[in-house]
Amino acid sequence: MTFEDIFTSLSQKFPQGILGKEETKPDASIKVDPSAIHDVLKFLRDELHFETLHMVSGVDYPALPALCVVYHPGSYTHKMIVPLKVYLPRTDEAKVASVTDLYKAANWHERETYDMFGIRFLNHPDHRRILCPEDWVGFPLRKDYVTPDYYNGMPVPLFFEDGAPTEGGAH
Amino acid sequence: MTFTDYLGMVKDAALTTFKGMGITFKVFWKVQSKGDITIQYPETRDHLPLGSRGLLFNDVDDCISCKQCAVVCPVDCIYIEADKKEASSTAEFTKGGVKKTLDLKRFEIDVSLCCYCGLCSSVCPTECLYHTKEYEYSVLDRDKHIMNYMDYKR
Amino acid sequence: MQNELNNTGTAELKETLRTDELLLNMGPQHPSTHGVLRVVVTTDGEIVKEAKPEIGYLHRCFEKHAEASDYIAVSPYVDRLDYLASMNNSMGYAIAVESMLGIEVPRRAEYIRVIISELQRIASHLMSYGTYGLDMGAFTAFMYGFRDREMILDIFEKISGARLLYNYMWIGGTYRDITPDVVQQIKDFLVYFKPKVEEYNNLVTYNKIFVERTRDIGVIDLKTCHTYGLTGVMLRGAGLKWDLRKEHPYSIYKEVEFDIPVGTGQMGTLGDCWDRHIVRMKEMIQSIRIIEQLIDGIPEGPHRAKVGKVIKPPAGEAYSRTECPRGELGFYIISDGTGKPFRVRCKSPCFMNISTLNELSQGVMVADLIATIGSLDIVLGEVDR
Repeated sequence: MTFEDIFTSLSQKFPQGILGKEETKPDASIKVDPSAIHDVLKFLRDELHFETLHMVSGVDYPALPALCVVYHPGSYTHKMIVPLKVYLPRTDEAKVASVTDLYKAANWHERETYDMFGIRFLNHPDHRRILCPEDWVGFPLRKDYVTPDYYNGMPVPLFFEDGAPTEGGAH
Repeated sequence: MTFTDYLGMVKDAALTTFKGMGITFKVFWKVQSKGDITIQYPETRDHLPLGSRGLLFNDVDDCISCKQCAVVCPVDCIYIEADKKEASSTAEFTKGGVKKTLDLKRFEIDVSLCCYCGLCSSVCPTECLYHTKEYEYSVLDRDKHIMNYMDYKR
Repeated sequence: MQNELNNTGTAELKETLRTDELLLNMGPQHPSTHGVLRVVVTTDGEIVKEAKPEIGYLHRCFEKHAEASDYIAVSPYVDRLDYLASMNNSMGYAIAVESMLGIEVPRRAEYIRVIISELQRIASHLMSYGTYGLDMGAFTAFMYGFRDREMILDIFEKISGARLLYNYMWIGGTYRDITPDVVQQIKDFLVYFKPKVEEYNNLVTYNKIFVERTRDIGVIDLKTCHTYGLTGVMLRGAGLKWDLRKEHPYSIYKEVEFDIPVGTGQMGTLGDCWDRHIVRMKEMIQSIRIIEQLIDGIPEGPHRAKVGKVIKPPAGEAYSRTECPRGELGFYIISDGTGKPFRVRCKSPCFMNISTLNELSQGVMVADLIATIGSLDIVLGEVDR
């Protein structure tokens, strides 16, 4: 099975859910509607033998503007990975259905995506930050993120160039 | 578990343990006869091979202030300041014969930030910035780790 | 009769002897947790009810740093992910960027890369062997493992100039060329090391005490592997013959012959801690085989392709995976055509491995929890990134 076969069978099954192909070089990906991603991954897992989910990650596109969640389901049968992309509005309220009930690997990866991008996953069993501290403010991997000067009274870059705080402000 | 199984287990445990102990004694005997492998560090030092990446050193006489090292540095620990040379001053050349167009005012490296990746020394066009084999330079004051190489100017 | 007693005994114990639940904080500095990992364990007597790993103590914002660095300046950061297998890490990153640039790596560089990364795999598995012995209470294994790892580090020091974080695999090739005396040193090491694997197996792997501690503990079956996205030794320990070097051959792995060792359930259940341990030991032998095939035929030529000082891949996306000692390391790179990556995402195998801990530790003894963590062979630098 090739990438094209997967794309045709997916777009036949979900005419509304699949929004098209992204012909990026060297690896192409499939654009999926946010409301359909759970069903698409379920179909991939149950019918097309995509046994495992390698990665869930986020991307911030300030130019579009959009937040993007990228899924990398992998198949040991077909020996391939098909990246699926879900574009969400670039707000603090960006939401997408969690796929933790399909792949348990998604649990920690979705937590990390929330931690870094502020994308919320609905029906996630343990929706907390994972790498940053619980009381961290802001989502570090967004492109407009400004590193705070102080965290709980401690200076974050530990020492400043001229001893003066930058524009980041304190939390 | 039957009694025979139990006896077999005891036999297994004894056999495998004695096998392991045999290896231990073999090595013990080797160390006794041929000398140990561990180096007693402060008394004897290991020989560092050519090209070891230790403390950075910059020969400021050869530096043409191109700032390539500061640009490539992943942790931004190299601080360079340079002015345009005055027209009246005499022309200076590096050992390789490259003309210096800039007047180096400051060349400092914060070695407590340095990650010894070797990128800066590899991009240096005049090969004036290089890693020495020096690796023991702990200090009590962190400011002393900011190495000012202008002090070594001829 | 004893069997009967055992069965009913434990069941009754669980019912009648209910003690107060105890919240136990393992770590962040516990010596047997392989770094700054904290596991919040809820125990009922000696039995673990829940073990929640709390990670993030070693988070160094690799992905944020990468967005602010040039492509070439990311590779020192990549080294610091899995600091016990830096060579494999930076090879994975280099392959990802090369696939975006579309450049061909010289044959000589490919040979050097594969030899060095297989040596690094041996070093990493020796470390795992040593620390696993330490977890099980066998200090001797640790000393043996480190003695031989030291020899590999000496080789690496000669070729790259550093002992732990090498920054050796550059985009387009390698940092420095390999010299004949290093080739000789690698050959000497192989001759020395070949019988040692058997010796280590006799010392620890087949030891009855070790077997009893590790068999039937922390069983990961194939289904768990798939749903948790586990790769590498975990997958092979569960019996699936899957190795990226065979299934998706990158570099010159197509041209070398080697077997994929898999767990067989020889000492107990398929996919237990012992199976994963023996897979690591057998992989070292396969690594030796690969190096032996390549070491004599290193072709002449440049050790680095002609890459400009500023690396600017065309706009696009790449996801490349390589087989690291701990599993499949993936790099998802998005380029927008500038000199700095738009997004670098590292899929670390350890991150997935440690996420299974809660499921593996349901209803086991505290001592077995240590055995399970040890057999996952995690490096916290890679978990937290």
